[in-house]
Amino acid sequence: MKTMQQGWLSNWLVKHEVVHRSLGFDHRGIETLQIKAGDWDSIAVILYVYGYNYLRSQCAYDVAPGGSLASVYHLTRIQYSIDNPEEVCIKVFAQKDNPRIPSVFWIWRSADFQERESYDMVGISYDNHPRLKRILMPESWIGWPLRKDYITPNFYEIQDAH
Amino acid sequence: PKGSPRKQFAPRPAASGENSPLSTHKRDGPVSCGSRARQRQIHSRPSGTRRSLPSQARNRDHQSMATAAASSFLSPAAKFALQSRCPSAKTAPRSVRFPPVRAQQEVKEEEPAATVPPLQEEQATAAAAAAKGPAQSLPRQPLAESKNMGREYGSQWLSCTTRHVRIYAAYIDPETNAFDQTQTDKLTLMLDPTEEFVWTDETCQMVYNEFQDLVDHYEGAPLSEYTLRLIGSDLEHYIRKLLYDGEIKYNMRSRVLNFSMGKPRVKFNSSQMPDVK
Repeated sequence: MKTMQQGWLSNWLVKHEVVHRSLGFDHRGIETLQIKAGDWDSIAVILYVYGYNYLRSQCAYDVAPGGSLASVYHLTRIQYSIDNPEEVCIKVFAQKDNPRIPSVFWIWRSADFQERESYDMVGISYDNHPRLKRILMPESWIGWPLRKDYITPNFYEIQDAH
Repeated sequence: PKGSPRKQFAPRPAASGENSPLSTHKRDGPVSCGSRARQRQIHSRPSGTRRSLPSQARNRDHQSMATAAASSFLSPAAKFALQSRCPSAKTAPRSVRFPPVRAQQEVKEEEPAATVPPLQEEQATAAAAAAKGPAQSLPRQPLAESKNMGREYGSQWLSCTTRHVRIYAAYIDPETNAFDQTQTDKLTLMLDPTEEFVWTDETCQMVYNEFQDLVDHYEGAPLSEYTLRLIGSDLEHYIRKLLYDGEIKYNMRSRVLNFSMGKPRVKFNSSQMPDVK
């Protein structure tokens, strides 16, 4: 536990002794948490049961060359008469040599294509995703294009204007 | 299920991911009438000690028959087939076979035949490669039919298509346009179908040799569109190098004259290309 500000979710997790790290609040005041990949399965179910029924977006990025990969989940609650729904942002980090994170497809269906895109671009493989394959790049592509150490092959189609 | 009758070629991406042997089979199909069509079929192996006699068929218009007869290093079994006003006249198909596993065995078989004493395999293959002549094409298969082109196979084929280089992992018959998709151990190269450049036999053969070298270089790689695109891109860079060195030039009578590899410039050569080898 760090000395950063902690929202209610962080406090709740502390109370239930789930190891996590609070990453503070971002510019919009959304609480950000870092959760381990091993705990992510259960925490996701807990959040869904609590009421976060909308996975607003899921993305992934390469933290640093030689570092780790991050998978970011943005959750909120959609309900009829709610004006300012609660939101929370979860980051799950994975090592670069074997990046595996449990998939939340079975909880939030919108993760289907978004996790496929994360897999395609950065290489994180999501366990229990029913059809995890490349979605943007051609199926036979080799390499993870949005990693910071990716080098584009010298394809002819990528050329400077004459 | 048999393949459907021949269709128009519309390159579409496909992925097979098989680790099948790569071999090349090349040809060139100009579109405009009155343009010269070259057709050749040759066969060579990457560990290339023995090669079968190439058979050659040509489609040319009447003007270039003389030059066809005069070209020297093609096989004596040349056949001339005239196609008049055929918009899909094809040119040199050629195939090179190099299965990644069988290549080793072929080298071992050929060693007694070659005069090189049975040294280490690398030396034998190096000597054989040095003795290898220019790239040649696989023999033509007159009875080939279009296969595996139907919808039940996904109507897909492995290909890499750019403006000057079209590579298909199939056997495409030069005359009947049969697209045999089951023979994925061959690669067909169609060189500059839109005739943006002026090609002679020598320049064609340079590109064929480069294609052969590239395919040998990529031997053992998985047969996927990614690999074919790498080969096609390297070949396009080679064609651009030829252009910058002055070996080939733009065809001023092409249907689309847009100088796709750079506008003509004065005192320009390939040393100013960033990615020339």
